[in-house]
Amino acid sequence: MTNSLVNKTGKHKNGMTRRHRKQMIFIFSLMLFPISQWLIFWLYPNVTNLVLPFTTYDFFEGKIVFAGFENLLTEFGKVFSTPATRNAFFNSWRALPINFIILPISVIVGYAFSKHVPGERIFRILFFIPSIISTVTLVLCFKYIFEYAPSADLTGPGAQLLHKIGIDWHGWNMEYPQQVWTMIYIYCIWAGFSVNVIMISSAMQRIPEALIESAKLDGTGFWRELWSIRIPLIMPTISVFIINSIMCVTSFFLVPMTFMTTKGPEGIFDTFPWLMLRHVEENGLDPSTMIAVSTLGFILMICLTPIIIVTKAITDKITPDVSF
Amino acid sequence: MKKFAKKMMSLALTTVACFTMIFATACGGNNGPTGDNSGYDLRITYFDGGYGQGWITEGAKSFEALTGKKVGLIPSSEYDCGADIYLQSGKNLSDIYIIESSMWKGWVKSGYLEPLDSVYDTEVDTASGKQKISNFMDQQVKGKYYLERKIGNGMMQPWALPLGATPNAMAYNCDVLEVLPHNGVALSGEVVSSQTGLWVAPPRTVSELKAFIDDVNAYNATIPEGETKYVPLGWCGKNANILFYAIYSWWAQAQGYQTSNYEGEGSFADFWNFGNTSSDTRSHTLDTRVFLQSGLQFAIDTLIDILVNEDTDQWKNTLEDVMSISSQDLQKTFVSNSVKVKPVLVFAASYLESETIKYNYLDSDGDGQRDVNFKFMPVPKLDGYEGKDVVYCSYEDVMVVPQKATNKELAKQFLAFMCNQDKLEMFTKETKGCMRPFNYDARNIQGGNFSEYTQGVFDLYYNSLHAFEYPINCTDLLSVSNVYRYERPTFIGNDIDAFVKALKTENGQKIMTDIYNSINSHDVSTWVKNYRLTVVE
Repeated sequence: MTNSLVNKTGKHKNGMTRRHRKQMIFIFSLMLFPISQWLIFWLYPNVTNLVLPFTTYDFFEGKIVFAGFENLLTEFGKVFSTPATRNAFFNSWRALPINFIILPISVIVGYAFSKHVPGERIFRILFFIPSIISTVTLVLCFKYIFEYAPSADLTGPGAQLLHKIGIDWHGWNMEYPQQVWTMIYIYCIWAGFSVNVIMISSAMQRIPEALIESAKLDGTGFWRELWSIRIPLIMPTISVFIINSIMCVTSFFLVPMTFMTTKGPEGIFDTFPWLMLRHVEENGLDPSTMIAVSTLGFILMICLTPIIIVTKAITDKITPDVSF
Repeated sequence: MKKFAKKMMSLALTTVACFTMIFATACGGNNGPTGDNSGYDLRITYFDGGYGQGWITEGAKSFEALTGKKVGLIPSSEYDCGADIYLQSGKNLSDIYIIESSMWKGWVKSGYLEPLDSVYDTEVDTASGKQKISNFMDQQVKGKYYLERKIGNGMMQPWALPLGATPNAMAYNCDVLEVLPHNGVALSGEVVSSQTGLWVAPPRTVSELKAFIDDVNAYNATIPEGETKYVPLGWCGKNANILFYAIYSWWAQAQGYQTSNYEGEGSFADFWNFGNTSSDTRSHTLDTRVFLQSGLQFAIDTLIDILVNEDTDQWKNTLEDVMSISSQDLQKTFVSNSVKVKPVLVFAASYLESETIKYNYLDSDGDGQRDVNFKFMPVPKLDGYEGKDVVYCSYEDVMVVPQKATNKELAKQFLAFMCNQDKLEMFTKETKGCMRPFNYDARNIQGGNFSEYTQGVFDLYYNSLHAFEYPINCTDLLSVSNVYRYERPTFIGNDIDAFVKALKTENGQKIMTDIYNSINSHDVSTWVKNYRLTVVE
């Protein structure tokens, strides 16, 4: 810095003291990395994802050009006109009932844990084990348990048991999609609720003991305590869980994909995220694939956004304004 | 004390932060899944699949001896070697990728690959003297690897070099065949002994196949409960494109391999040109009526006749849980005695034997003997078809060079080196009978010690017509439909599982009409837009 720019008091001509300037450089250096990260890894991909569905790739000119709503209308039309796309779209929403079945079970089990029942710690560990094992490993183990292909000498213990009790289980056979989906539901519920139990029981344990004791003195029973005291007080946790459950629609593919490996006739096991993944697997990340994938993602986003907004408004409304 | 603790804490955190930075930097400089191969002049990442490692290790060793350059080999468990992400970034690239995937077409469009014109023009040593690779290659297959870098620029270039040629047909259980009595109308002495009444050779025609199936079913009924039972024909619902082995063969026979037997419908080869009549790549034509070829319908109906009980809409003549088994399970049921029900015939590829050795299926009781003796056979011909056997072959394994590879010229030199006839023969020996699509005869390889199964594969490959997805009768590369080149649709669209489901409940005509309608309502508009096609009605 030349002297002419700095006056006797050390003040810069633009009114900034040297100390202030150094502070600004420090803050700027500190912020540079996170801001760049945000620009590159958040803003750029998100803006791209929002723009790409409105473009098309000109194969002859080798460039992306504006296409208006053409892609969106075509793909959205397929949801209604093509069985494979329709199945993929609606199968994605199967994540919702799975999570909403998990919710009440998690609340009840979490409540039991919060009561400090005997052996609670061991139960906690046992419950948590499925969550720390890789999903793929867990799915493959579960798949083997219910494998049923006697010709190839492959019959898992679970399949044997089902046959012993008179259930005509056909294994992971795509000709029986309802059976397969039921088993996928069972797996998801078994493997999925441990984290929620831990989360909910922890939230319940934070409720002041005095409050619970006071309720008990007033004669509150086991279920009344859960319904009228515990659940309202952990509503913020539950509402986060509900929003996350809805968001699962955008990422529900790993389990059906690992169980079935094929989307099945007319996509009976397909989901939108899996469809997007297959686009990339089959074609690589060329511009036309990126446009196709972004369009599918955009369709899900359009459908999910109002649901999330309404759900958030409802959960906010029913959540009591309390803090402890 | 508190101040000291604070200082120590700061120190610890700073140390952790520094180490994190160092490790993060180290990770950035690493080659990720491709491994650290600094110090090599040439890096090759290859899909470590059915071919094993012997051929590439041997090839690299010979190349090192010839050039003095060091070759690093990186096996990958992914079909595409996970190359997509490296090609996009242009960093940490291997000089050659050996893949079992058609993803390379997308890489060409994106400009990630180096054209291989110079490789195709290189002269290599062959049994008949020096020849350019482009001339030494199987001329029917060659065109598959040509694309325009930019669609419509009219400049076709080769971008990939084929690795394997895989014939796919059937295999039969020799042990059962020897004891299988024939019932019903008399058959030729070439398949059924007139003296013993036993089968002496596998069925050669579809009508013989049906008789064979009846005989296996009758034989099976005589086997007491608790002993190994047999079903006539094995296939697998989890990898149902194994049915293409029969469909392609019958379709090409019925429709005409290169010349159509049906006026105005085009031949089997014409199907893959999807009705294109123009060599101006900016204005190709498209005629989706090829999806209605009569020969294809006949092939589908023939398959339905053999596999489906049309009264009950259930599978017949095959394993009861056929839809629950994979190709690996099918191999096990065919070659191993550890199962209770075994197929006598199966749809099988040339690699059946090598894979079953790899999975340890051949000797389940550990007595040092194979559980089952089996041989390769052609798909039985359609009755009345007099021509050569038609075998469905696949040529999807390729070698490519990234455009941003560090040592492109050495990579090309290696690719050409591996096309010398002695290296092709080495490939066949090391892979225990896999062939490459070049004009050499694997039957003449000295010291190959190939099994009977493999010799059967060779015999069939060299004495048959090869059916595969390419308009082989299209001599002008620019006349090959862009729909074929860039989309590669199959005759069933893209839903093999729906096709299998339909086999059970529909007839050939209904199946094909559904496919035709589906193609027209969902794919044609995209193809027309992307490739500026004129639809022929």
